Amino acid sequence: MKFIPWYLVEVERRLAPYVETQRLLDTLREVETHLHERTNEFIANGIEPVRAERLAVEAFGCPRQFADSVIGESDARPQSQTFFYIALGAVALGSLMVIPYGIFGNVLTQIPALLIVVVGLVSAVLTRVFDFRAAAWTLAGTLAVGFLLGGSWFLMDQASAVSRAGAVRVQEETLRSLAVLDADRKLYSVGKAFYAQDPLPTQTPAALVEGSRFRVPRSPRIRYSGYRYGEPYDSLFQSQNQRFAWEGPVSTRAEARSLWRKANFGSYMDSQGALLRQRLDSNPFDQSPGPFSAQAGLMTTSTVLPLSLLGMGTLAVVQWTSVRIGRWRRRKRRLQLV
Amino acid sequence: MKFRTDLEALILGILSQGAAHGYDIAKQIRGKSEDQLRFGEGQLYPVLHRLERNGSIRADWEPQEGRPNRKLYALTDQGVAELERRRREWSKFSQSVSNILSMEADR
Repeated sequence: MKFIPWYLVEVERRLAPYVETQRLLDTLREVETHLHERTNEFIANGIEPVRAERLAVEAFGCPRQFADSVIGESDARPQSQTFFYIALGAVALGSLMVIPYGIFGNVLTQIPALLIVVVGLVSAVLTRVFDFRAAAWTLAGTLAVGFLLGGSWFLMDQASAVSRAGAVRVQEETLRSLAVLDADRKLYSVGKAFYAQDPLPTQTPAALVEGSRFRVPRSPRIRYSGYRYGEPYDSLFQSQNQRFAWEGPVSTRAEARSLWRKANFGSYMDSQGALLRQRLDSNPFDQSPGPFSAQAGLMTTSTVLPLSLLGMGTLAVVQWTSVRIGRWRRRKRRLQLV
Repeated sequence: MKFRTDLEALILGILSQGAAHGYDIAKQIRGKSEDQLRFGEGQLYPVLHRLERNGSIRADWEPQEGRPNRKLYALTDQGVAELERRRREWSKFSQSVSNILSMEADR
């Protein structure tokens, strides 16, 4: 058995995460030289080579103790300690996102947030239990980049305490609603010209229905999801719940509702459009954009997530490559020593 | 006096005789103490690194023909002063111990 290579590997494994590469190489070189010279001394005293090597290693001391002593004398902060704290931070932040509470609610959907928490926990455990191995660095590092990219989502306007992500999401939904409303309005105009009166959807010619979204809104198009910063939304929401007035000889509630819609459809769309546009103008980040540019606020979930994944992937590749290069360099240097 | 401190003093003492590398220092400590001072040889290097960082010794890589380079340690002026201080401390300490032990012998 080769005792010296084993010893060097044991020492390297323990020192590598803590000590910078050059210092690690110097230490390994010193240890190797020492062990070879000690072995030669034993051999010169008549001890056979394999036993001499073992005795030299024993005289040098336990590799763990030696590595601990070197680390103890080093003023360098363990590299992976930073990653450990990043992982813990990720767990904390991720937890806040998982709980749909206040300003952190709706920043990310719960599954990605939960994923971040899990990755953070795994990273923290790996970095502690497995002595800060490269795999843990990669996990924790990717997490850090993911949060750096996703970090803009946590910025908020202090006055209104609304997350930027939430505001952007509401804006997106409002824009979509406006587009639908405009389409409905155009179709309504066509239907009105065709029938010379306010049309109901069932009266719309098939040619007009086909390929369109012509229908009387029966419920708010905008999902109520914790939107808090604007009164217009509340007004809109309440307007949908108001009771219909009974007009004329109708036999059923549905018929009454249908008549009410027919009578009010045009003005209803006008008022709803006004409300939606008012909502668009009430984004607090337009008045107080914070440290990020207005463009940052327009980033959508579909933009940020791929960017985050790209960043994570890039860092993982960089980490993996740097670890491989480090190992290759150390191996090459050690071969030169032998 | 703690052994850790002693090891520093021993290293400084060995290096006062001239530059040496780690293995030589360990060998000289063993030889001069007639194997009375035993320590894991691995303990030597962290102490050497600390002394180097403190500026008591300096280290240079010594190229060797056909063999790997060795790190050669040498005393600096600061190290000489440190050695003198430790010698005085040790002298005081050993004198104190001797005084007590000799009292025991006189009885």
